[in-house]
Amino acid sequence: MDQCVLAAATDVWATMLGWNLTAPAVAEAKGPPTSFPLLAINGCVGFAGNLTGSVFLSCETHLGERMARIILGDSGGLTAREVSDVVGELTNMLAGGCVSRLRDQGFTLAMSIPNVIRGVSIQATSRDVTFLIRRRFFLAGGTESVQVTVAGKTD
Amino acid sequence: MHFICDFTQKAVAEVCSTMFTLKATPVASGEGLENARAEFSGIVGSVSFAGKISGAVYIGLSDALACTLAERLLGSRPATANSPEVADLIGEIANMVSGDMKRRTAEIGYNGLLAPPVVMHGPSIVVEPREAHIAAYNQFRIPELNEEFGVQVFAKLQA
Repeated sequence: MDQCVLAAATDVWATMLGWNLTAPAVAEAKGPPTSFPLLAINGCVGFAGNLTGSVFLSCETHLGERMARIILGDSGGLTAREVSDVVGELTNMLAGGCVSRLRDQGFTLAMSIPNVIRGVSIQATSRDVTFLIRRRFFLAGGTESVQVTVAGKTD
Repeated sequence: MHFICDFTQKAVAEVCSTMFTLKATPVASGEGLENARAEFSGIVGSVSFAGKISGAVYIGLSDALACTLAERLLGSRPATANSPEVADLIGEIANMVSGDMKRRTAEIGYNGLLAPPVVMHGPSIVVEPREAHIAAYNQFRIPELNEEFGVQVFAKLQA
């Protein structure tokens, strides 16, 4: 799963934004489920089948707005809704990339639709799961980052 | 009333009765995608579903109500709504409500598989749908506890 997340995230950001994401060799969290923090804007997509779980893409507001400006080609004021749409779409593509790679490995999966969760100081936990992977992807040459969290279980 | 709204009301009433022997009565409901978003404060249990019907159920409770329900089930009141037993309980409620709804939607031809529950805690949690064709909100009242809570469903039916 970790390799699927790495490959899918790198692909999506290169394709959609022309950004080269870098990730530390070791995930921030990998193994038994723990609670995890959400950031200001979070896309969430569930998946179910013989592997079930959720994919979260989290970022701070300024980075969400920056990505939205690039994708929407808008240099003016963006609405919160437009930023949510972009984060939701990136989450959908990220989850789709992971699911596609997992299907190639023999998993049978269906994806849910994306929702966007906004808030402050949100702490999340996933119940009944057996693994959790949390990775931070940095924009090349910068300190800004997006956080990807996948929690799930196999049948 | 859309069947999603109806099924939500039936599922919540059934789960509250079964788990807590409490009556939960719908006091307000709304449907429609225009400006659809759910705003919660406290603790939110959610379950995603995927298949002929895709989407997610979000159940938002205040910290006080979450602790009261935990006390009713476990016999002692948790120190805070942040405690693992409260998260377990809210996840289980979300699981049971979505499981009941899944059974009902499957009976009319819309089967979906459920993802494991996710529980979120925070002072402000706003959920905005993308790609949903259906948004249904229900506010429930538990008269015995003099408390209310909300349930939001965002869903899409596969043709």
